[in-house]
Amino acid sequence: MSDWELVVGLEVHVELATATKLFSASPNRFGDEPNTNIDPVTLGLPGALPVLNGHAVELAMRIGLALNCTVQPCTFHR
Amino acid sequence: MSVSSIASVAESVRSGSVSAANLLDEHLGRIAAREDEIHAFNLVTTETAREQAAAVDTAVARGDDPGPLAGVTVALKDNMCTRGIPTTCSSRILDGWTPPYDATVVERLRAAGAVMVGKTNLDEFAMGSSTENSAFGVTRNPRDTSRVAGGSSGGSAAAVAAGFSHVSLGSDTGGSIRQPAALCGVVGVKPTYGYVSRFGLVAYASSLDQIGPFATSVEDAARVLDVIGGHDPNDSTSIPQERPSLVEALGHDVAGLRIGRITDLPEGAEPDVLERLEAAFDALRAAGATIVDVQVPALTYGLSAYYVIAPAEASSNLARFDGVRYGLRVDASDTNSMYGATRAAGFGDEVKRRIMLGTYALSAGYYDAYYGKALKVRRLIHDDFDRAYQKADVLLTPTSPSVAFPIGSKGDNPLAMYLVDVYTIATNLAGHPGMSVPYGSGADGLPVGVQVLAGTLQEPTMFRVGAALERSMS
Repeated sequence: MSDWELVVGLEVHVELATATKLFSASPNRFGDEPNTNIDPVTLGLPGALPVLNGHAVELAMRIGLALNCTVQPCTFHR
Repeated sequence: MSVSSIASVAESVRSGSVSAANLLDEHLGRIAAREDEIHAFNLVTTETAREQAAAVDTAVARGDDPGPLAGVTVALKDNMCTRGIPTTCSSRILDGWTPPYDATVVERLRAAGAVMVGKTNLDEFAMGSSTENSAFGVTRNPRDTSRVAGGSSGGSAAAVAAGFSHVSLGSDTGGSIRQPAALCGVVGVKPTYGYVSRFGLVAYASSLDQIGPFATSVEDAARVLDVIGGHDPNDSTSIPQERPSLVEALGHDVAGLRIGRITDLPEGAEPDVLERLEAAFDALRAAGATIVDVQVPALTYGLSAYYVIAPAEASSNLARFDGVRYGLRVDASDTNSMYGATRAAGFGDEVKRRIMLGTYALSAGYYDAYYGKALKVRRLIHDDFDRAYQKADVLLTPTSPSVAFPIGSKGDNPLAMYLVDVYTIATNLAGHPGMSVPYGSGADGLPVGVQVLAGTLQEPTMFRVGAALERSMS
């Protein structure tokens, strides 16, 4: 066992307090009636396109900077 | 066929001298007379059209302005979502599905006072170049009903050519607006990627798809694009910057512009088509433009790259049609068999072919050799075009290698069909705008289109050249 080196990675999930969902303009509200906070995007209807929540990205960058990480530029291509 | 510009149509409606209801009746009359023969539509939306026309007339009577397209009739390719009206993509897989929302372009047209007359036929999911791949039957070319109308937006091109609507919208992934426009003798525009919102357009190949207009004149096409273009918060690929008015751009002539002739253009165009292209160069030279030689070597690889990238994206986009949430469901003993049975019954041969091609190109072990390579070719095409646009303001090519071909003549040979997009496809890979302008006739007196290509967001220059070509024909 002494030949083994222990490497531990942490994946931490945090519920973000954004007003809307990550990829749609529907309310990000827990405890509501099922199938009420929905729209063509959340339903995956033909023709619907996801739009990334800008505030969620800001929060992610903020925690990245707070933890002294480097924020990488990134583009959605289509 | 209507000869007045949509500007004058809208003006007469806004001033109250013509009613939108009468204009609509005129078009419904033409549809009643010839639609059985042409089959431009999957659905003629008579009732909602009457409601929309009445709303326009009521607004005028009240003294309100119904908008810049007041009373202008428009047909929509049936892959654009319309609230409460079936949207089929000419596929059985969407049987019974009615969208609960309008595409952004539909909202913008309605807000501008346009009246939607119907949903037009297309190659299933926009995959094809002749509208023969529709689950609901072929659309015939109004100029010669034994010929195809082109595709995939064949119904939208035919609707305008037959006078069923003033203008129409199509989508162009590899030439699907420009090629049918050329074959039907109308103007067709594929704008810069991101110029028009795709929210509500059922996706085929998302990095290539773009919505654009069909019209009987360059000015009408500019006017429609001025209405439907611009940023949409619901489509993050729509370009956020301000756009100059294309109608205003038409006021400038082409004196001093540099028109590029591609000296290494892929072969295959018929002599009658090349003759019209030469006439177009001559006309622009006579109008004061300079003709310059350019090379776009990577153009020759456009078709190969497209038939990896587009099917790859399609295989991913069409995965959602599984019989669970909407459209057709073929019941089977378990869920997996239900998926298979539904997709086997719901998709036509060409859609299945492209899903298989795309799935193969994206599968582990082949990804780098096919998809990765195709993306590199795409980059080369983009760079080659950029170099050409340092020497020329626009490029002129044939739109289609030939005039409209007979229905059934290429049906058994998918590769022969793919080749008809050889001059249009690279524009989509580069994300650039392109338009087809009718430029006289070729073999058997059928229409020939000349294609004007330009760099990213160079629509104003492209439209100036299109208008100059049009003037030279009048």
